[in-house]
Amino acid sequence: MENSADNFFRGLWKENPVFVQLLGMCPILAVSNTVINSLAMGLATTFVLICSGILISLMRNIIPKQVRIAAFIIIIATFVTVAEFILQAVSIEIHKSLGAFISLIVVNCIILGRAEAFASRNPVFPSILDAVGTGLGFTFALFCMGALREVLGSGTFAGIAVMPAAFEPWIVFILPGGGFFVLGFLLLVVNHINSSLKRRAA
Amino acid sequence: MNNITSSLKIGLPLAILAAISGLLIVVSHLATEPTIKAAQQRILQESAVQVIPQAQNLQLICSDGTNFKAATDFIRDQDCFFAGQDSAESFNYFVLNAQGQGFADKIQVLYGYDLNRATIIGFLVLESKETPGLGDKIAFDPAFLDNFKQLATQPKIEVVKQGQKTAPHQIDGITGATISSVAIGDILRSSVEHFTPILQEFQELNHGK
Repeated sequence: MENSADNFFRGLWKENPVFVQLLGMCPILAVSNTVINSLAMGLATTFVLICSGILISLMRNIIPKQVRIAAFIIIIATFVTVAEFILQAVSIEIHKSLGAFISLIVVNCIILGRAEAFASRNPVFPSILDAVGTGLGFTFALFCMGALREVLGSGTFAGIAVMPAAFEPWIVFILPGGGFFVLGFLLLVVNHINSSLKRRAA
Repeated sequence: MNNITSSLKIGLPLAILAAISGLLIVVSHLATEPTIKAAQQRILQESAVQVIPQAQNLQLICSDGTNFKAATDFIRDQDCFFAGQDSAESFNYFVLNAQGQGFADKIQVLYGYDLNRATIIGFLVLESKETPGLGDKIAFDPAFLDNFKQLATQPKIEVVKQGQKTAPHQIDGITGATISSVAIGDILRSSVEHFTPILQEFQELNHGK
């Protein structure tokens, strides 16, 4: 049981794909300019992580070692296509605002990384937990970025005005440069929390 | 012989995998397609109504160069437009889809056209990737959008610097978004030129209907 919890929480915080492993930087910087975009991107990635984790884990004894990476890419690309159809059916507007970045989930190294390091070596249930944890960790990171950038850059949260009328939005935060500022700031905070936790444990 | 078996050992699982993935994609496509199509049509129809609220019986018409036919979606390589009736039940209001190169990428707009008066009477940016904070103002800046409440297309649409509009065929540009505002002027001008004869023909054919 302890192991299951570990599989889940590892991706969520201890080895958070964004804040600790610094993976998947492209979507993190590119689509985190609003809360809605961030959540949609995070959930789409989580969906692909879980589905490809299950299929790869089920087929782990059939897929020949020599061509495993190619096989993983086929599986991941399949679920990205499915995710794209579903997102379009749920909301064309969100699909439009994410543009090419949904298709680019295929090359997100978080997914291939989890496939190679975990799903291809473990049974289905732990693979699901690992995928859910990693996916939620990624979504959490995107959400933090999106919330900060949208509130500071547009004065809104998920489209609802939250700042006083006198607030002049800092447009730089919704531009690419602002993505780097916010990511740097969040990494500082996460590293500070982690190191003070370590100090307390020691 | 050995070579063939080892190739099969690698090829067969990949073939099975490809079949599974093909099946998954086809099933999900079939399952979501009707919803996606319906949503696209709804958005298009709503945007058209938003552009000319006063038009009655707005319907999408496509022309292949010889015939006009009612359509449910824009058809590639055909001239498609929404036609609507005015209060005298004559087809005079048209909503047109136009696109062209902006600063960052293609800009796609819908605009409402009053054919009898050769005047643009509504405008909406459907898609633009113009710079946030500068060029993207073409979609929501109230002063800029005011240009399109009544914009004469004769003698020809012209973009001038912000605050220098003197004639009804001029568009007051946006400072800091010169390329994007000029792009809108170009897109509208070439679209009006292209569509005017087509719309006139359509209006004549449907006169009194």
